Amino acid sequence: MSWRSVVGIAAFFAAQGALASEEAQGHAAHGVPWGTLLLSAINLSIFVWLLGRFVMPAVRSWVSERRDQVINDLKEAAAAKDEAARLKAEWEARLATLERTTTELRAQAQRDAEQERERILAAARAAADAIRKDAERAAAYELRRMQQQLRAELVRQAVHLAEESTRAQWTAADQQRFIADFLKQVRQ
Amino acid sequence: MSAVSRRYAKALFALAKDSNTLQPTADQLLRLAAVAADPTMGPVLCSPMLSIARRHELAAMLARELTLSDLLAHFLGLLADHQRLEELPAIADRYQQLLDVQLGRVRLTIRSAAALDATQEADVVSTFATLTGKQIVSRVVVDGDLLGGVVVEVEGKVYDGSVRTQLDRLASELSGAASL
Repeated sequence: MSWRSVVGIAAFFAAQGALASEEAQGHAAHGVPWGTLLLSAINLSIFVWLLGRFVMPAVRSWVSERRDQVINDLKEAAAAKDEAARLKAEWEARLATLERTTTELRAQAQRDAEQERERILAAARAAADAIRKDAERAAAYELRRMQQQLRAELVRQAVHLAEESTRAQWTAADQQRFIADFLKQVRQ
Repeated sequence: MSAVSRRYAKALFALAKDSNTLQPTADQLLRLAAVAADPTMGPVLCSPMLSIARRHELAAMLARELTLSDLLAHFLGLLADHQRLEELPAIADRYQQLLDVQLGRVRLTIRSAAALDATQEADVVSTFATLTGKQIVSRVVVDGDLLGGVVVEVEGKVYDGSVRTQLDRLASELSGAASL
């Protein structure tokens, strides 16, 4: 049934209501207007029926949709709240971890710096030790070399003196004795 | 000493042995080698500028001048033909070695700081004759650098009894001790 039919029926009952009202005014002086009362009741019933038949489903549908929307909104709000709580917890955890990580990194950096310092010091000590040993070796070598040179020179001078002495003092008797000793050694 | 000179010396030695002229051939070969080794004659004999005929003529003239035996004259001509005259000193050395072996003798060189008298040389020769068991052909070379004593070379061995070597050894020992 269309809204125009409903409005037509409502106008019909409204006209009947008005007619009944006029009749009631004519019978008021004679007691209870039972006919008018009946028609008003019927009119009210039809009105209630029409309301229940055509208006209430739309209202009920609107209320249901609104209810579903509210429920969805509430669910979304709850989900958003949960997400926010999760993010908060996550960031709190991160913050807590960040602090711990920062502390660990700082400690590690200190340890590394200490180790590096020890390593550099050890390397410097080793280098200094090597330089010192090299210097000692070089000095010892130079000393030995000079000693050898000195001794070689002494030997050379001694041999030269011996040569000169031999040339100056070598006699035929020496030659004879030398040859005799040599031949004796050859025979042996 | 080259293989060529050894082969020529061996062939000449065999021919001289056959003709029973080992020693005369050795003497003549030594004279010939001395001429070939002469600073003026050597380059002429060995010159590649000479033709074979000219070189052969030169060899024949040399043979006449040195009164070489027919064997050596032919040998000289052969060397001239084959352009081997420069091998003469080496051939002579090898021939002497072969002759020494044949005669059971060894060459002994005595290097001495001063000239040896006959007794000293005889003592050395006698000692080494006993040592080697062979006849000794000695040669004395005066070498003042030895300072004193002698150095004897025989059969490829050197027996050093010189003051020079003893001084060198002493210097070496002193230097070695100094380096310890």
